[in-house]
Amino acid sequence: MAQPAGEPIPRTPLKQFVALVKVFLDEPMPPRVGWTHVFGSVLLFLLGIQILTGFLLALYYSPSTATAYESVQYIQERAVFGGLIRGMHRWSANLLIVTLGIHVARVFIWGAYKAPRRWTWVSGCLLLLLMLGFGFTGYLLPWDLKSYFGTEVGTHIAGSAPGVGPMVLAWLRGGGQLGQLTLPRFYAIHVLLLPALLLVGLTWHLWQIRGHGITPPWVRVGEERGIPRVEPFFPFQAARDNAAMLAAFLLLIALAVMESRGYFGPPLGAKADPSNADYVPRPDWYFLGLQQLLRVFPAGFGQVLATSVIPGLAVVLFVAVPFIDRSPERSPRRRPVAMALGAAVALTVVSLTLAGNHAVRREERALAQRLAAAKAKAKAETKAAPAERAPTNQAELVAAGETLVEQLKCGLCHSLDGPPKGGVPTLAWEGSRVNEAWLRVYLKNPTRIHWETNLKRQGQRPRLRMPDFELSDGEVDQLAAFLASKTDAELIPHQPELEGSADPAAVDRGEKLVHETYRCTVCHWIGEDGTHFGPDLTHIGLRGRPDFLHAIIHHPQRLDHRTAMKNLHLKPDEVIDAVRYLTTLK
Amino acid sequence: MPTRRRVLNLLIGGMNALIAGVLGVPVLGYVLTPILRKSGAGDWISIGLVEDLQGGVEPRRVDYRYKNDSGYTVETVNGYAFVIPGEAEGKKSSPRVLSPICTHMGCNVAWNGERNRFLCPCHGGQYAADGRNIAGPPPRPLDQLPSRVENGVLMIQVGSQA
Repeated sequence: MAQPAGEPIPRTPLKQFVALVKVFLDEPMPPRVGWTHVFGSVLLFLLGIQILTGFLLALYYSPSTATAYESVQYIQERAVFGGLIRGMHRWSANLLIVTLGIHVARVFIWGAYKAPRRWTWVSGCLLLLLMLGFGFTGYLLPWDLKSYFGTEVGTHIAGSAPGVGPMVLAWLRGGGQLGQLTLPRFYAIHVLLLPALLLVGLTWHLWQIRGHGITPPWVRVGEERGIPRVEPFFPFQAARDNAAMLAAFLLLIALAVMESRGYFGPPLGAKADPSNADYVPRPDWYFLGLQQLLRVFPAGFGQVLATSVIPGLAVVLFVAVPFIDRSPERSPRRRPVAMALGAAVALTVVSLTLAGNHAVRREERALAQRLAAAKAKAKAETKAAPAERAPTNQAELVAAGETLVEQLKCGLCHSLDGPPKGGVPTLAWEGSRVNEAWLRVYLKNPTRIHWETNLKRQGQRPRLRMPDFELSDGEVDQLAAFLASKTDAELIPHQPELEGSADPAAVDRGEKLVHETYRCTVCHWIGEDGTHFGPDLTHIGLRGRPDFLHAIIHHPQRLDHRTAMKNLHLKPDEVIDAVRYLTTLK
Repeated sequence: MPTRRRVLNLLIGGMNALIAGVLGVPVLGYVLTPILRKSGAGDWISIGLVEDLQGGVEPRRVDYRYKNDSGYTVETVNGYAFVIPGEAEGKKSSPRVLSPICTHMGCNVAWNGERNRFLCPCHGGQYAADGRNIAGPPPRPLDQLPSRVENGVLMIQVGSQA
């Protein structure tokens, strides 16, 4: 077969590969190309970082509403260098968008989009849209409040297009609302579809670039032929590109380290909660301008303009720039109209973004003030209430406590009137289970108690279980009164035998039963002895009510059919003795 | 006299080595997380009363289930083991508990009462009632699980927690 003119294709794959690399490295550069031309390489480098760190995150990430947040938390806190890797992925994405802006501006000012490089511009536009798609889909994945509400608004914008809007919305979300069906879909698009498209777009873009060569600065269209191209890309321009990559990399590392140390606020917010009304949606910063358009235009047709017509037209016009601007001039001095229009567009985008940021800030401040005012009012009311009314009115305390249980959404984790679910105590008979005095101390600072009684001994870091609601004393009284009123005399019957003070002999017998005969420490901690299989009994005398201890020892599965507690079939008087002993553990 | 080209070559090599070095440490550490993070001893779980499990002459299959903290989720793991009867002496010593995992390629073996041996369905490995490998490819007897008797309850140690 006849070879085209020039060097023959090397025979071995290795030599072919080396030749391919050389094709790129030896690309001749026109004069006056220099530091202004490094941004494309920086973008390529940052993309490489994204692919690497993205793969690393995917090693642990789990795209399910039940575990997405927890898996990101795992990466952030427990994987070796996990916080840094995640910070790099996030900040490299931000740097990519910024560098993209600079790269586009550079190409525009140099007139490099003009013939014969029109399709280089179009392929670049495709890459830009893909980057925005990556940003949009990636934002949801941590499944924290920020990502949830940011995407809630983001999908809504896409869904407000006339006619097809509802269909777009349903398709994006995978169903009626943001949830379990949305997360895997965003993940699949983020890690499968977009990278595949990126590969195609990138190949196209690079092929265009290499095919046409770098635009000789300020040379009119059609006059390129006479321009000498002498210096090869490597190592001259390559060294500049490489220095820029290194600078971007060091900036990236600095940002990622600062992020993982909390300089920009907590790296991961609270878990997504669709019922949270106290959160101002904030899309990622490069979508703030788009969100601001919504505020600028009035409701009705204005919204359609803001969400579909203007952004759609902007994209079409942007892609079509080389086909609209057909003047052969490349020097900015001879392209006053193009320069003015370009500057106007850049100015509009920047000011819309700034205005959008300002608006979100304002909404956040207003919300914070509203919340503070509501809290102050509530505090004043709880303080004023006991002065006005009788503080001993138990019924009022209980009623207020019940309202609090609703407001604090205790039912999200606790069962309110059924059996315990998933190891979380039920509130249905909390008053039969624990002492009210203990409950007061516990509600005041639940995390601390959980940590001190259970986790410290295992050498674990405290893991947030029951959240600290920072309750006021009045609120603690109300909650404790309400919970103490939740008793179940049928499930946990009163044991008259446990009334009054204990006979020391009974306590001794109980101690022997607990520690020797039935070896409760096989599963429970008591003092320095035990395992963490069951609840810690070291201070059980403070916490558990005698009737409850009696009931659970007597027949554990009656209280919770899924409990792992063994029924050791104690004799009735043995149960009494064991409870007598356990209530002394304070 | 080094040429400009040579200096730039060195410079590029140096810059890329710096990037690779700074990037390499966290990436390597992250990838090796499962190896670097020390794994604690497994949980002890009870699998039944020892007097119930001791009877009979054949190895007794015991099914169990436990919760395993896999890092960010707690999953329920199902498993089974074989208790070898008639070996414990006295109340305190524990009978041997054998893992059902074939020592050849890790398939689950089953007890075949008619032939009085454990059979592996994958490559025909065979083990005697006491776990000795007697035929087929298995290189060693069935593994023994750590076990102990507490308060008349037979307990085994399962998995090793991360």
